[in-house]
Amino acid sequence: MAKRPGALDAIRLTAAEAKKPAKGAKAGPAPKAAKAEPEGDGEMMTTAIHLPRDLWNLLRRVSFARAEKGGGRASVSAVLVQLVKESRDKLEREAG
Amino acid sequence: MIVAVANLKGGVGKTTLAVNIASALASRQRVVLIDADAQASASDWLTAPAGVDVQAWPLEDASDREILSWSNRVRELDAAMVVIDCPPHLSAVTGAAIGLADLVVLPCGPSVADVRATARSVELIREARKVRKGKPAALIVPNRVDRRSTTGKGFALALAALDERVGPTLVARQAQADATASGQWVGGYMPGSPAAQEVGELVRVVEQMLRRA
Repeated sequence: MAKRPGALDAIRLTAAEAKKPAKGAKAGPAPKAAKAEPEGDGEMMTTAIHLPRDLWNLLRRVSFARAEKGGGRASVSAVLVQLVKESRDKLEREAG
Repeated sequence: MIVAVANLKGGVGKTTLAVNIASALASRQRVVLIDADAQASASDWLTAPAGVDVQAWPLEDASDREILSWSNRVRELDAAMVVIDCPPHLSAVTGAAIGLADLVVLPCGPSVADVRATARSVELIREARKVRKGKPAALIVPNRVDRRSTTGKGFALALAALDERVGPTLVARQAQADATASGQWVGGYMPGSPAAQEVGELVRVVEQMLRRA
């Protein structure tokens, strides 16, 4: 496996990247980032969940892949919300 | 503007400080608090005050591409102020945060181990300055200090030897511990308390340094 970058490598990478113009940069005010927040049916909640590391990494990779493809901010919450919505009927039945 | 709260040692009060700084700054602008620690402690316990958007963005065992993707997303955030709570070790995400930050805040407790870790953190910041035209600025914050002890009294002087700016001292106070236990920042939990006033003074110094960054 290729050597993973350490802290010093990360400093140099981000410093070099910061010298480039931001992607999609245009003259005038910077555009607001596309919303990637999950859409709920009402009030939003922020909480913590505990899950196996490999599943967390998978969710994270999916969120990054979707952001790369569709633009906007990577959002693990949005991935989770979509998964729950897809199974909502089944979950509602189980909850009674 | 981007503020990273970092130290290569755990248990020095990074998360508490990051939460307090973000919450205090949120009274005047939109703030995004990025929890970059895989332990997700900031996003775990905080009941975010109005104006603070808490995002859990850990980055472990990352490739070059993932580091760049993470840092570009930080740069593209739609917020006047971004505060990054870094993990307690020498990692790519700590490096990325230092590579992005205008200011790095380094909490340091009154112990030899904390001071040594802070010194190593300062070395990392100086490496960043070589490729970032003198950025980021650094502010060492004496944290959880017992003023009554001999160690406490000489502690700020010992930190001055690291040759970086040393900020206002945060004294070990019960109010902060209680605020943490209740999931709030100290200014929201006990406004006007000595602990809240100390945080307020610290944030004034942070804002002053950011204006000069």
